[in-house]
Amino acid sequence: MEIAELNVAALRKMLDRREISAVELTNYYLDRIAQLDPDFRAFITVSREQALRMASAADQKLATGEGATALTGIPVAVKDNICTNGIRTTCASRLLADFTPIFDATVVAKLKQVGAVLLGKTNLDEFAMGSSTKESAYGLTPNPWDRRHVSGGSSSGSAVAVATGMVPLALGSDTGGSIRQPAAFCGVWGLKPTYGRVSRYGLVPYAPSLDQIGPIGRSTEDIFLLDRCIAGYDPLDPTSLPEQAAAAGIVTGSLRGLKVGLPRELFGDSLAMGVKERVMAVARELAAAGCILTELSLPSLQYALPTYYLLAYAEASSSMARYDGVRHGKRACSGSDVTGMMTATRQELGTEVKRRILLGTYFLGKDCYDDYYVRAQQVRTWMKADFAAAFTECDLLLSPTTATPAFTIDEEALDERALALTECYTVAANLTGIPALTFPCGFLNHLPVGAQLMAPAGAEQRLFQVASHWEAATKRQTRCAQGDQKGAFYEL
Amino acid sequence: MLSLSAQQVKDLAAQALLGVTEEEIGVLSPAINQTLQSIEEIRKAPVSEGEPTVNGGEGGERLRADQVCLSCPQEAVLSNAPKQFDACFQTPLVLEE
Repeated sequence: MEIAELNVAALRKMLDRREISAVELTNYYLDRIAQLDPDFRAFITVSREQALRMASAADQKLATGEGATALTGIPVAVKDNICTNGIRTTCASRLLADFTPIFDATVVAKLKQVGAVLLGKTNLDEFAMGSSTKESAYGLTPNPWDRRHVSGGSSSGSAVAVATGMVPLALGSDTGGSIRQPAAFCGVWGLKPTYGRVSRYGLVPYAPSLDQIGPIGRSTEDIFLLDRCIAGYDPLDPTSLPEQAAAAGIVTGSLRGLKVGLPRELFGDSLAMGVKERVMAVARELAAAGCILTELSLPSLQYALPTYYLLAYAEASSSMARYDGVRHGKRACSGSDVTGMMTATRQELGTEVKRRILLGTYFLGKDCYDDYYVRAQQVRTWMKADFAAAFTECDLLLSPTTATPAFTIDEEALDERALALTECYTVAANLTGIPALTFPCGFLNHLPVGAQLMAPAGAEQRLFQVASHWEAATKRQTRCAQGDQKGAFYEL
Repeated sequence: MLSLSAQQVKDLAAQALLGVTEEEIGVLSPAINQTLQSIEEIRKAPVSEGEPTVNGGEGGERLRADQVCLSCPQEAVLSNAPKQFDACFQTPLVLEE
């Protein structure tokens, strides 16, 4: 098996047995990026020199054994909306093309602390607003299983880098499904942690009450390891939850008696039959392992998408106000006065970002505020209560991650409803703050299909346990995708 | 039903200090109206008496101790300033002299 196809545990063994050094491993992945990335544009910045320095430091750590952990010497990529000291952070926007942060996001500081090796910054839709990287100023990242299709968004650079074996682990951010949707489209694993579990300090905000940083990897164990590293209380993030004891490993006990809910609203007519069949195959496997399947209803889900649009875009309009050429952003030279300069500076934003700012500005105005914006906040309260009630009947929820596999690049451009269909399965976890994990559950034609598990706030272990069971029971392991399998069928 | 004319979109852009071209208005106006149509559904939600939620988490917003601590060095902070003057960020003139 090629190194690119190995999971973190296997790489760990190689490093610990000195079969390979961290520098050699880093060079292997840097070479692979040089070879594959021209076709994918998964990376906006490859930080070769810093990576080799970090790898060398990791080798020293491994030699002495002092402070070595599960991720010491393991290469990691970081979405380019997460601040990295000394490495530019563009948010895939022309406005931040020259922005080099002078501090690390807490998640990056934690990675450095354990000796992980930061390979570079990955592509995304501009300011994480989009579902296909069509909105990136650095070009679209195509699907690694078929380049005629999108890889999702907004964390598609991270998902593609992992799926193609350019890096074993990556960080993404998820505001309405931006980790889970691209992970599902690319056939890899992704977790949106409980809101507040992972510090958002240093994450460039899109919609702060929904944003969350999380891991993308090639197995359940891989994302568990990265989640464990980045989770924890951070005084720099006022929404950070109190410290919880870190789990030593994934719980591997019997699933017997675990109640798995299947929300009717997420198995409706808009779901592609092939996707439904594959997710139901997961349900059958869980039932065979002793889980009790329960069909239930979450009526608030009917309003999830409009609620998400209202809240996310309103928060976006506020978050984006800082890019005015004075506080942040590359200042435009034109404009006769301050207002003109700010307007000219913000003209450089992409069309999708402008659409969301305009809508958000309108939602916060007098025409919409009470009847729509406040109402969306009320629906959010109802949705939290609705999910809390569901979790009294079941231990976790199983659903598709998206209604269909990755759509074609042209299809996405023509039909905005395709985007809505990918978002309606994922936004509820952001609105309610609960954790959600996506894992590959097969292929439809030649494209991956993702299944999603959701659990009550703080119950990530339950998600890892069930996803890990599915992985072991089906003996599935992701191959590396390289975009040349057009028309071919690959069973995982 | 909510709907915005092209002129209203332009006014909104001015309010948001957002430079938009005529071509962009042509793309943005129908896209905005499509979203406005899709949010109408929320008026049917049975939540009139409910409390609004402003935060996804359970912990609320917490404050850290009010203590002086180390911050970023001045030189590093200024490295991202579009223009500098006398160790300060230089911004465009806002008030007439």
